[in-house]
Amino acid sequence: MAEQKTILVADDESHILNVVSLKLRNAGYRVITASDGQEALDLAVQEKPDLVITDYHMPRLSGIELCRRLKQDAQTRGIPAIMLTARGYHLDEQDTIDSGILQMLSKPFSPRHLLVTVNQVLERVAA
Amino acid sequence: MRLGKLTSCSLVCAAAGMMCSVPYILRSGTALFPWGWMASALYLGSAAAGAAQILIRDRNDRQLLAELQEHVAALTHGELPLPQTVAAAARKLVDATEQALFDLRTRTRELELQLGVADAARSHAETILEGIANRDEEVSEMKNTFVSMVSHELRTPLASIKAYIEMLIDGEAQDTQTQGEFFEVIQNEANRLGRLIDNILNISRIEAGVARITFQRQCLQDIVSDALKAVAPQAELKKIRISEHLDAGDYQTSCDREMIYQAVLNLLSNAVKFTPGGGAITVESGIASSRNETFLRITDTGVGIAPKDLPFVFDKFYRAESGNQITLGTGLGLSLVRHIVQTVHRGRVFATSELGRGSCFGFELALDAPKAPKGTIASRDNAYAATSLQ
Repeated sequence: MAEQKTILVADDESHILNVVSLKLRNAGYRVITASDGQEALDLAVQEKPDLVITDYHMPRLSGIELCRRLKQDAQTRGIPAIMLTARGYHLDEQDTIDSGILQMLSKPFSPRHLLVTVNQVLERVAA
Repeated sequence: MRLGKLTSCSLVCAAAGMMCSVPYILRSGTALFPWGWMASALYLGSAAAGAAQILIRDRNDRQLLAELQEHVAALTHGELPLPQTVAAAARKLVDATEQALFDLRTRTRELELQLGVADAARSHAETILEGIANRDEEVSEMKNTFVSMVSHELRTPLASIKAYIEMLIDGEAQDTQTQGEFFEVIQNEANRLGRLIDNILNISRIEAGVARITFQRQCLQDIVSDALKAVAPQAELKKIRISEHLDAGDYQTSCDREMIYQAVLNLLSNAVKFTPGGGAITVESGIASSRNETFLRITDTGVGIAPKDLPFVFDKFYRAESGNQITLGTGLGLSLVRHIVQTVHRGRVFATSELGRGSCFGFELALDAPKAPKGTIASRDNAYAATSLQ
């Protein structure tokens, strides 16, 4: 039986945190949450989740900066990331490599679509 | 102006020439006239008369013209006027011509001056037009920004509603408690959306000058009392103590009750929202020290506002970068307060704050004259009469 995957969700809006956590937990994932970038970084280093889902705008540390730091640290380098963004934010190629963000989801997003994306990303990484 | 063939110089010469019975030269640019002085006089006379007709027309000097015409007529009939008479007439003509020339030059200068002034005015008007065009662009850009901000603000609660409804549809809320929470969120967000739309409409109406306003004499503290009742439940929920100090004096202000109620409600709601549980809010209303105004002052023990943000709190959608503050409001509440108080009622809003300690928001409105005694018509126009009756 496959090991239960852990997903770290970082967002400063509690509504989003609630919706995403519940959706993923109901789908069988273990979810840990953070409401700012620094908290997310500390949690990621400590727990080494299988996936990070982060908002772009967050207090203390932005989503993109969080992903860059994770990429720089040997222990967290392999963790894939999905970023939620409110406006049409585009990553250039260098940013994609630097941050390891595999997927961008624009808000407002559908929880169904998020679950599908999460499943796809984790399958791709496991392969 | 066909002064053309004659110049005053040549006229003088002609006159002198006639006096001396010496053939003269008429500066017509075409020919010399070596005739006898009689023929010259005739020619001179008629040419002069012609010129005089053109020149003197404006001066309305018919007397002079009539004299000249008489001489010309006499000449044509063969009557030889005395050289002195003709010379005198010519001299008069010269004077008249010179005067006319002088007047013409003066008028030309005046016209040139007017032209200069008109030119300057045109150039000034062009500058103003340019300024207006630029301002139009600015306003247009501001409107676009406002529209895009409003769209974003409207989409946020909508996004939450959609997400939670989707979760419910997919059966993600597996127990009644979670379902209940979801329903509450959806309801709150829907209400927030409604309030946002109301605020936008109110502000737009005020800005466009089409708001329906009914001024009536009101006691501000009555309006404040009503608003306090409306926010009591939320304050109760957060265990926030609200203390009222409403001056019971009999003072009135002419205002639109609905609008002022909305303004007071927005200020009170903000105070409740941004005061942490267990905090305290003080509401004061009465007559300002100036004796001319009535005021409302709401002091909270909330998180406070940073000095750099304070000047902008009443701006549309202004959000302080307060770290992990979740936006609870519509972003337009205070903007509407300012519109209502300052634009519609010509009052004054104010806000002071200390980061970490709390904030004080409020406004002042002009007082009406003291209430008229019974039996007097109490209207704004008669306010003066009412005062003098007391």
